[in-house]
Amino acid sequence: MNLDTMNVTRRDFVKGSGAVAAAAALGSALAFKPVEAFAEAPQNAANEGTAGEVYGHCRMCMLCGSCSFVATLKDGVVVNIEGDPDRANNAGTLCPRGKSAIMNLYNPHRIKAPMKRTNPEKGLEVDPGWVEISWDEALDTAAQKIRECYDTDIRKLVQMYSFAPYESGHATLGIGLWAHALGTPNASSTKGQMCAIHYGGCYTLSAFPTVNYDGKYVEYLVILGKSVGYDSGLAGGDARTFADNLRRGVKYVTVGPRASMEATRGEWVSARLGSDLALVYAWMHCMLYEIENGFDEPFVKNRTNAPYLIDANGDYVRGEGNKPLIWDAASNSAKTWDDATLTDPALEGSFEVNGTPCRPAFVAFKEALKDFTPEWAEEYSAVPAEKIREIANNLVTYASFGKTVEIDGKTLPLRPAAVIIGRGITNQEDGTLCDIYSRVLNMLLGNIGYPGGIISNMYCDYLPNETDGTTEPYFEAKTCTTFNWPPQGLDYADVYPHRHSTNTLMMRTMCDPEYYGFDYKPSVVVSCGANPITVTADSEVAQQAMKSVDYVIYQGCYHYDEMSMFSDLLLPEHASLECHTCHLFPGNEGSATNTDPNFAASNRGIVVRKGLAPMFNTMDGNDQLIEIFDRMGLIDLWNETANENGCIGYSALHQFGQQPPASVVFADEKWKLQPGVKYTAEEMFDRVLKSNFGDDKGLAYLDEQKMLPYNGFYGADIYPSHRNQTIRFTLYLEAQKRSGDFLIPKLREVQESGFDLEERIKYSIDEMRRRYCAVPYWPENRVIDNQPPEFPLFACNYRQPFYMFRLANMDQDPIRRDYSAKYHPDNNAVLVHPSTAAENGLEEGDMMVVESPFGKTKGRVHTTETIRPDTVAIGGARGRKTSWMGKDLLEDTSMNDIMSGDFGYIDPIHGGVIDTVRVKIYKA
Amino acid sequence: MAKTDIAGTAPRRPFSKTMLAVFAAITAVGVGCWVWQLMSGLQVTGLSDTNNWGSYMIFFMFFVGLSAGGLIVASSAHVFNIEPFKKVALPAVICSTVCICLAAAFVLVDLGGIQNIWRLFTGPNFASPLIWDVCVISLYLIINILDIVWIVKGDERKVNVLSRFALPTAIAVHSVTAWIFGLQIARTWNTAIMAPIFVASACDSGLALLILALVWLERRNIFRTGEKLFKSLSGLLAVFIAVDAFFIGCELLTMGYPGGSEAEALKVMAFGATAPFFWFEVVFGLVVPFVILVFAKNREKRGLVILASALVVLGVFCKRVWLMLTAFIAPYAEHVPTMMTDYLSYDAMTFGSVAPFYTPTLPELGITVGVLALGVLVFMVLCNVLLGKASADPAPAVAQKSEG
Amino acid sequence: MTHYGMMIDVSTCAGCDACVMACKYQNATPHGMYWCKVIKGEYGTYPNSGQTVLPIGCQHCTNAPCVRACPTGASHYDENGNVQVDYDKCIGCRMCMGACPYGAREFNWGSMDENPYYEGFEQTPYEQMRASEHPRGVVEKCVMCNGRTAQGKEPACVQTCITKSRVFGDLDDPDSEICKQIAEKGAHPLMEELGTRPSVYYVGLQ
Repeated sequence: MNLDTMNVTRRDFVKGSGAVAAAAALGSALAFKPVEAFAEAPQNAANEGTAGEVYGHCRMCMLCGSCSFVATLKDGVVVNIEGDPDRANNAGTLCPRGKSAIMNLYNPHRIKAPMKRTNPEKGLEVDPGWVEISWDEALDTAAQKIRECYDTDIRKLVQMYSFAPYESGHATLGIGLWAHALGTPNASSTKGQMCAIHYGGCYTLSAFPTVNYDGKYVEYLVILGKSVGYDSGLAGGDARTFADNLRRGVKYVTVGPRASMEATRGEWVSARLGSDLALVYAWMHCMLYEIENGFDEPFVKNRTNAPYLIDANGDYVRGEGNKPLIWDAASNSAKTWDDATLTDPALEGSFEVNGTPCRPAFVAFKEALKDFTPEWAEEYSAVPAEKIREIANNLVTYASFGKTVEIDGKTLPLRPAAVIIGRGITNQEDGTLCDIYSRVLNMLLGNIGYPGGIISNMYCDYLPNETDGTTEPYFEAKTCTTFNWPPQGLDYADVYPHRHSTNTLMMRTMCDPEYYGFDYKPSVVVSCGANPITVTADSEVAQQAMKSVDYVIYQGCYHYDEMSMFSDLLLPEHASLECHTCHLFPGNEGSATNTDPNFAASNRGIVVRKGLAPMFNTMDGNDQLIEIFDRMGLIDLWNETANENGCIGYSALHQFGQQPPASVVFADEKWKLQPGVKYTAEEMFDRVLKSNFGDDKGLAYLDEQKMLPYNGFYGADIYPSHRNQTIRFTLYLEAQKRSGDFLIPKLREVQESGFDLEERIKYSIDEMRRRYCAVPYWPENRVIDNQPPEFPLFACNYRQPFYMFRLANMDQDPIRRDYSAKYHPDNNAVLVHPSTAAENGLEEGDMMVVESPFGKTKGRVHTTETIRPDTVAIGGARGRKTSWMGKDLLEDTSMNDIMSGDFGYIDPIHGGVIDTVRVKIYKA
Repeated sequence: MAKTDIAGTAPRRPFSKTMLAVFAAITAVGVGCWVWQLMSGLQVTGLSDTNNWGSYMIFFMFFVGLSAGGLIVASSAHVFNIEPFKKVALPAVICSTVCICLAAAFVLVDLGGIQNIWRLFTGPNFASPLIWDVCVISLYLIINILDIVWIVKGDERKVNVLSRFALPTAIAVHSVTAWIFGLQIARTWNTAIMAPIFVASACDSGLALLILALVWLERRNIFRTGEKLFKSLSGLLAVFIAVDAFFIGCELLTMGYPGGSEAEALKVMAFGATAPFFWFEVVFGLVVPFVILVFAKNREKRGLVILASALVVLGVFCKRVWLMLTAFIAPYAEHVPTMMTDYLSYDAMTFGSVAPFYTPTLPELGITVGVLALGVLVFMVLCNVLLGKASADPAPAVAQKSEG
Repeated sequence: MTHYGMMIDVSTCAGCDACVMACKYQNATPHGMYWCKVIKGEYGTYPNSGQTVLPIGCQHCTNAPCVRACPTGASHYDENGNVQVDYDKCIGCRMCMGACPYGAREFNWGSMDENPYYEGFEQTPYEQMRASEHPRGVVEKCVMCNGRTAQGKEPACVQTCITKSRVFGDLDDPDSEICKQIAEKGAHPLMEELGTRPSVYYVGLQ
């Protein structure tokens, strides 16, 4: 299945202008291929509502849709839930979070009807004086408030999103799409700042949301700051892949501060927190300087921009058609990258082209790595130089340059060694650098998009820059070409154009917009299931921000949490089991493949969740938004936006032209949403499905099939580099430099105009300039290294399957809380090495305090040999601030309380909050 | 000093109605607590899955022992024809009967599903030591009652024959109770010497309790034991203490010597959670009383005899406590792989740190005290009724001035 | 003769506790009671250290001390060679709890009505619907999902294991998957030296 790639133009989707993506026209050509034929259409009891089995996809964690469940109904009560064996991904399994969907449904803290506040005073423990109102009143109020902004200054509307059970949080018209459609620049993810893992993948391999590893062929995987699914307890295939791979002898190397389960099963290399960039550089140094044949030369020459000639400025030297030139060592002349006669791209040397002295970008790249020796890296990482070398050698050895494998009758390069990274490294001050250079390291191994290597979890095609012949950075990595001053987005997107989210910055600017240079003040907040007060950091600031606006609408809310305590209007949505909605599952987050030969095909598709009859007076979140748009008189805008971007899956990405599309788009025009008509969410889904799969294949058909693989891949086609064998990956970060070339002068202009921007962003513009580098750059004077000496230790967070992050009742479920209290040694505890504990007068079981320059939290001492002596660790995403969710939650140990997302404490490119902090510990 | 007096010349002071009323009231409170427990379940106690036997079963063990001890003394007297001891047979049997009824009561209040108790009789599992105990305790109770009846009636011959059954039954009753614990491979109780230990502690605690009861009865002139007999009984008690100490010593040595998992349990007893109880028993329940009673001169001093006997009883009680609780706590000291992790933070090795593992609640104590009060109450009633006429000293002694 | 048993590979177990929750929701056990538990531990000294996991429940011993100890025969062997508790016969003496070396048994100290999952609130409809399965005053434990296996399904913990580290089958059938795996992997029971002859086998015990 070869897909044409098309020209991608940035689409302007404000007020409905812009062309429909050509992808839509291809929709019907994307053949739908069911993975399994179901002999009998399963009876879904949700229709009758009182007894039988209810099928659907699980949304009890961020990987919503990765797993499908079967819930048993008896007299209208859910009496059991388990994994659906019909779904290949989770193969009948279901994780602890999935099971708690029952407690999520029957949570007594649920908001049962729309509410409005009567007590104007807002505070964590202040009774809001909720009064139940009708949906009519609630939706009218919301519509009126938003419309007010729309009619005066739409920028006054601040939308926040997170992971909510319905789709608007993250799909349908979510990820800010509906807010952008209205025209506000203010759409910000509250949890996204802890999830800044997209830049490197979006930049180098057109991968969103994540870059995964080929579980089927890998032999050696180095894991930095990530759980590949085993530590997190993911049922959707990642843990199974890991276990199956253990059975076949795959070597997993976990580099980090803690001997997690993944580390235990493979090799644990204890490394100081925040030192991963040094290791990545050192490994690349070894591959280029120390190891003979230490990198995949043919791949680097022919599949990367390493041989592209760059001038003294670091820009490409261009030739005919403005295409970058390569020096052909065979002909001793410069040729464009797509010249058919190009035989031997030079990686070394200095040349002159039309009077311009130039050299291959590879030379600059290699030079930049010269000093990053293993000895140098040992200083930062505390990993012995010998071990660093050993890993580099292993990567090269296992990669087996030149080896091939037969898949499906096709011959593909086999490179079964890879490095994979996650939020533990991206949420550092040098996170962007480490993210992107880990991808570059994989280029040196020649494994990008090939068996054994790294693949986008959506298996998508590479988006080409036709002129440059390279992958074109997209989504948040898209090269910066616009700048506004005064700034437009309250999240300071103008200064951080590559941010995934800078919500913590937005909380600050909201409190004092004028100080930050804004010429307007925010007025209305619409939170789509988002809770900035606990989800990231700087709770006090977020509280202040919520108090600083005129009206706060909590749309798609679930329980009386901290956000509700600062809201004026509550529009509660159904519990997860009650929603009838569908989703285009983007793909797992760890393994891209596993022993199931159809995994890649079935890992991506449209899944339906069949809702039970709602218990309370709640409303589907999508329908809430549709109603609001309708009552604003803007239903056409909603319909247009859906028509153009699709409405199942990541519609907000559609404009970036990802292939296969990130959302289910309208292929057959006749099913598009008609102007002037208000459709329910279900009707919307039904139409887009029919428009794609056929007139008789709408929601009812999906209900029967349970899942429709959508643009899944089979055989050799799983590997994007097999589908596109010519595109070059960007070892040399020319576009990043170009982004900086555009942005930095703008920032300097602002600074020189008299507005002390550097004071606001608590960051040097010069350092920003250095970060937008084209070649490896090591930032000296990192915040993490320059904390007051009274904070001698490092503190980090780690995954606990029970408390993966904040979503619905994740930390509120009484069964998991109770079991943790009884059987988890690290329940509400701080992991401390015994020697460190002794030094600080702490014993197992004592209550202790972990204090950073930003805050403190309490926990029980748990001494363990599985943590570095210089580090303490707090597990899970817990800790609440309002007793309205249960008083015991106030006592939970909270990592967020010791972090900060202040200006200066984020990665300056992708905005990730630094989630390693310097701390001191003492007895409570 | 005991009053020595011609039998019948000093006024007999039966247990007063006030005393009876007080203990009845305490019993009533206990019954109330029990009703609460029946309605709400055993959750009102301090028991847990980790430590699922506590106050009730501790007292059950304790009272089976006390009971057996009394009867062993009384029936050996008849079996081995020890005249002086025959004289205290009735109070001994009264004591023993009351104690065994208390033991049964403690088991009953400990049951979570008492409504199913008839199942013990319709479908007993004869492999279970509990069923053995039901059988042997029932037999034992019958023997006790018959003994009382026939002693009161003065039927010497029947009593003699009965005693030949009573003695082995008394030994069996506490051996079987020991086997409830000793045969379980899962716990530190698992040892062959458990039955001998129990029998030995039955003897010394039962006899000590008997001595205390006899002192009390003599004080009130309900029953006169006399100097000589007290001295003999104390001497016998010293022997029993020595045997008990010997058996315990053997067990401790066997536990500790190999330095394995049993040694961990020993550490909990010697230095850890149950250490206070262990050391009280060893020092004040065994060594001190033995040292007191081994000397004839001391055995003549009523005060010392009372002290030693009281210490022995308390000491054996402490033994029941450490025996029961160490079994539940010790796995945490050695990190047996199957235990509840949240208890890891409770330090099994801190001296006296039993409370986090098990602390009896007020209702639980209420029931316990109530049962004890019932026992005292029944004892007092039986003594009032049955001991009016008998005396250990039938022949008037040399008339002496009454003291006090 | 069927003899149902299970094999658990602790060297591939992820310690995610999905089995704990699967068992919990399958059986709606009272608050605080878990028929399946995963005991977490660790070994070694830094930096040569790691985690240990031990999923454990009733071992369904064929020479069970609990069956022997039960005075009323409430604890008995069923037709599949597994140990079950007949709640109608249980008098709540808890002797079986002391007899079990694996800590597999738990007691219903209170009734589910008085101990809702969400403390301080009423029972959820889920609890209300299923509370009658757990009478107060009896001892409970893993039932080897006899309700599910009677319908040809696997026990809940086996089905839900995200790493497929659990195998279920008939130990009396030499051709069954479980027998083959036990032989292949050299699986053996926990604390074998006690002689309880469990029906649960482990791979990867240290």
